[in-house]
Amino acid sequence: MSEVLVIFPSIHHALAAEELLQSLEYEFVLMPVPPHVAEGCGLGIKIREQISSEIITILCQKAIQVEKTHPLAKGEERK
Amino acid sequence: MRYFDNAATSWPKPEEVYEAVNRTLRQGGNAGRGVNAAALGASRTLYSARRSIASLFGIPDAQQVVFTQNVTEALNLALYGLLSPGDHVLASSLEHNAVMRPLEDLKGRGVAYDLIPCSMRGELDLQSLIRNIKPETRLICLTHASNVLGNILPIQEVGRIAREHGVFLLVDAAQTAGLIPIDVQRMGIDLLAFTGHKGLFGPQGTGGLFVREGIRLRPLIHGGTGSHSALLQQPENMPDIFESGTRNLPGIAGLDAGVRFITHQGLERIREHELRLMAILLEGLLDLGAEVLGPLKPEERVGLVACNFTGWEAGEICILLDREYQTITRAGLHCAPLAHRTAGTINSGALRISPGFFHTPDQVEELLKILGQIMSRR
Ligand SMILES: Cc1ncc(COP(=O)(O)O)c(C=O)c1O
Repeated sequence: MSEVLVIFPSIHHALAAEELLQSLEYEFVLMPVPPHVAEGCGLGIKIREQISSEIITILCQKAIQVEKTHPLAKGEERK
Repeated sequence: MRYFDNAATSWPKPEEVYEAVNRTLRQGGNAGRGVNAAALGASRTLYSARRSIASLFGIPDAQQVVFTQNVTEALNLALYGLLSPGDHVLASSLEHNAVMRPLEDLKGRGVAYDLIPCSMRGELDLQSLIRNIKPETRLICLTHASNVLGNILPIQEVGRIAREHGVFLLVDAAQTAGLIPIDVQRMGIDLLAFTGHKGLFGPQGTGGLFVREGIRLRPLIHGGTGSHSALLQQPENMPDIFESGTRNLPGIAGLDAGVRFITHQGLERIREHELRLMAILLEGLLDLGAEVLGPLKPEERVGLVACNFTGWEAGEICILLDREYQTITRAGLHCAPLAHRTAGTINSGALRISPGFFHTPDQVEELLKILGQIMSRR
């Protein structure tokens, strides 16, 4: 199952996304952005690739800025 | 202690504020610095406070709220961040030194300013404001209420004028935040500077600035934000661009609790109580023969009265109240010499009395009785 890390420009946006996705009962994991990705505020949200475009659209609609999405290779988060 | 200096800093604070400061200080963690539970908790504290502030001031997007140490820092950020040589600013003759000193310094750097006169009671001359808008005018900077005359300025009208002329509006809400409704959208406010420790019931060392989306300011301070750490340059996104260095987390948690207290009580109720106390205070002071600064109708004022008594120095009364009656007021110029010049009290200063939300009408009556006793000594 492929996963995607959504990266935000500031923690404020990451927490806003967390609040929103929680209220919509999406499955996600709050996790640190691996340093070699070197973007964003350091706090990302891991979601299933399948639903990623749906989630990005929702975040956009709520004006929650996303810096980028990063496809997670297997085991990358433990690097 | 009888505390009547809430215009300087509010006291006491709601119980929740003390608790929030204590709890946050014990929790540890630094916002944005790592994703451990403590750091995340700290980030959540900031997030929550930003949301509370945004909701209180009708700010559509909480990321546009930046936390500073106080309104002075917020005003400095807005003024130095926005203005460049060649720009022109309009302010009122009631501004606090938190505005005047930066403007004077900026004058030395090629930013011109003019002061729009106010009447002795504090009414702003709107026609003069309009007449003085020039092609170079970038900003109108206005206090929402004078910390000396106590009068409330017509922000919404000025907001409309600013819009019509393509000029930004910066409001110093030090004396009004938490006491009278502020809606940045409805009032046309582009930059709103507030302090945490007065009407918002937060601790000292808290405050902030709302920056309307799309307005570009230069940061005052550059440094670590916990975000974009590989980048040597300052990140450009809100709110990080203006929040380098560790925030006053316990303070901001307290501020959040203060704002929640206000929301829970209801601004309307808070204002109603203030007006009730002010009616008693104003009437009592006039009965004692005081010369009251600012408008005489309570509904045109915030909860402070500055006044003078014939035959007395304001400072003398202030000291007597303090030493003999454990009653705290404030004499002098209140960091606002321009406002005192406007009121005609630049040489005498005035005695400022500012009750707060936790006072009862009886306590205001008691203060008036004490003042009566002092007056009968001469
Ligand atoms: C109108 C006004 N502006 C600015 C300030 C400065 O507030 P602070 O010391 O919290 O920055 C005050 C209060 O002292 C004030 O009344």
